[in-house]
Amino acid sequence: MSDELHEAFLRLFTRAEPELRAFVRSCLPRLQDVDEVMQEVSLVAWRKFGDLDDRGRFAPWACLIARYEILKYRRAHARNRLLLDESVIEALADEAAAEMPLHQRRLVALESCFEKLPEARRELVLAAYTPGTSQKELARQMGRTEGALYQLLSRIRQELWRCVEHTLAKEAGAS
Amino acid sequence: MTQADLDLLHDFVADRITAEAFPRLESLLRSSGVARRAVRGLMAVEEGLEEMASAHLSARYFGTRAGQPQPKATPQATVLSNLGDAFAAMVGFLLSPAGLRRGGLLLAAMVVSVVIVSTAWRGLQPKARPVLPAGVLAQIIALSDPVWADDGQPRHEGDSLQTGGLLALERGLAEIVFASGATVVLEAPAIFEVIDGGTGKLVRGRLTATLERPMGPFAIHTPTAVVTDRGTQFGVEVDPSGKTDVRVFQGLVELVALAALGTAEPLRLSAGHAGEVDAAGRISRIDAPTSKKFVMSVPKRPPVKRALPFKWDDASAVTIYRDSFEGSGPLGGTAASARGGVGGVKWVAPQDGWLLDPETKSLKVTATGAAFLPFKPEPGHIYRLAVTVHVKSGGIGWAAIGFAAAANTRLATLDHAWMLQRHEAKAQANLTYKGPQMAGELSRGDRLTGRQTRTVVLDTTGPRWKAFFMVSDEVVGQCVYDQPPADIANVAISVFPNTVALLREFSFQSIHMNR
Repeated sequence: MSDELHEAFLRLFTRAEPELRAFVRSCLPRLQDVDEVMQEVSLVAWRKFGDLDDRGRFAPWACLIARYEILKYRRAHARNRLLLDESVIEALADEAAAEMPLHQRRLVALESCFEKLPEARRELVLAAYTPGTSQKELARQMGRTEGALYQLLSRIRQELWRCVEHTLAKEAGAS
Repeated sequence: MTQADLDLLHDFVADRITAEAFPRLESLLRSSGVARRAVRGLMAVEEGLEEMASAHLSARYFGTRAGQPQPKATPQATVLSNLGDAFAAMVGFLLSPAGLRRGGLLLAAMVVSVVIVSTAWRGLQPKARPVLPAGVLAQIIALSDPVWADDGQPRHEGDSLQTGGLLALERGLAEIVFASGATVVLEAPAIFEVIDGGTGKLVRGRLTATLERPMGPFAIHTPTAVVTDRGTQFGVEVDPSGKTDVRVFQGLVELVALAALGTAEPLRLSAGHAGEVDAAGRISRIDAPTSKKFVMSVPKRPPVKRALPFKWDDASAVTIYRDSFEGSGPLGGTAASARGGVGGVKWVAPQDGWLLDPETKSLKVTATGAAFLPFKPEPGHIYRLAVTVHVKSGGIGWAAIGFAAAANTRLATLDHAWMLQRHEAKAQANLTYKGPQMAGELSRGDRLTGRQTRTVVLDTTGPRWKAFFMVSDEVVGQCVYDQPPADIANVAISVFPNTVALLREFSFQSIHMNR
């Protein structure tokens, strides 16, 4: 393929990658699964990119590839792993595809919700999500059990989710 | 939706769902659109928090305010805005939220390298401070007569330290520089761990930390306390019970008991003052005895070239495979013995783009993927896998050698003890990986490009297998496996997408050490 095509692909893929990744992740929460599927998605999309007529439709086109790759991955691994039933994945994928434009708004809302958390909780979350942090070690350092730390983080995540949903609902009401 | 339902969905998103709860989860997701939307929402929270934590980490390197990610710019976008478009696209292709989490330090690496290479930061670099290779969180810059604990990894000057990098120093001194600009002089006996580019943990022993011209915050954790530097010089001593003494020589530090982190006001200590957190987590000011001396620097010595810790004797080595790659046509389905090499087993390789090129007398790779020859390691051996690599194009694209489990010819990443070489290693150094895949990254220091002989040595002689990564005859990285990687089934060469690489003089040898 030509350099121009190559560059165009990378540019479009880079732009769509966060949404595509979120899409895949909404069906397969395990990061390792997401990585493997995303690698396949990027390779298949690159191979088929020459066939894409309307580059303005790159994201939905790549989303279709991702949907297929998720199902393929599920078929390959469902026998020995806890993976959702194909019909459930299809339902999640269909809705996630329709919600792709919402992804960035969710992240923006999350940032403002995060800022509303008490400082101690913000610090805890940042510590827990810092790359390389072991929750077991963090719990040990804080003098809590790992289970107690998980419960605390679970409550914070749910609180953030409610706040994000509330923010999006308010935005929708205002528009 | 009930709280129990929400907890169930959360467990799914956090990858903590149990087999017992799974049928209920499936039923809920099948029947409820609200539940499916909640899963997407919770997943977005998970992803967003990962990005914020990575941005928080990056902020240490950028010098922006910690905990204040830019509202509409993902870390990727922040990086991209600092790059030329074509290169940016390639970098963006490599970056992903999972990448931020798994190898978030890899992101920091690229962020640091990009910014330093670009503009204003160059002017802000303090002249006296050692500049770390891009992506290195911390590095040992000086050692004085070190003796390392038997169960610890021997370290050398110039060693890069990643998250979890541990120094178990029984005797001597070690000086470590962090990406945040802080330097730490560690005094034996001591155990010290790198947490990230702005944080270290003193498990036991004594250190002096200096942060004269910070590029970001710096903190020392101990088993009982967190000491946050506010631009200063201070000493920390941790005794075997975990009791932490802090003395401030210049400037200001904040001391807080670990158990009260985020809930209690820190104790602020200025120059000439000292504080203590005892083993029970009680914090107090103390009188600092002037008799106690903290070492402020380590005498510097000229760097020493690093070699394997054992002698490789060619005369004792058995060649398992040797392939000159001379000839023509596809590599896949051919055996080295057919072209005068060693090994009658046929290569498993991609159908297209992996060709023996008579013009360059090399294996010319123009398509991503990997090529494999079967191999099962046995205890008691030293294995030596080598190839001469010349990556002709591809920017940060790379070619790699190492060990693999299944022979997946479409995947460029390998499974165990693998190292790569890029076409250009200015912005992103060449990497070595313990594996699996891109996990367990070890070293980013090597920036050699052009034609290089790269070697991976796998030592299976002890209960903990070791791997050494070499360029020519110099060791550039190493790793230790707690458990032997049981799924190694191949040796492999791989090439990243959109990269052109020439490979020559492939060899794989072994020495049986217990004979």
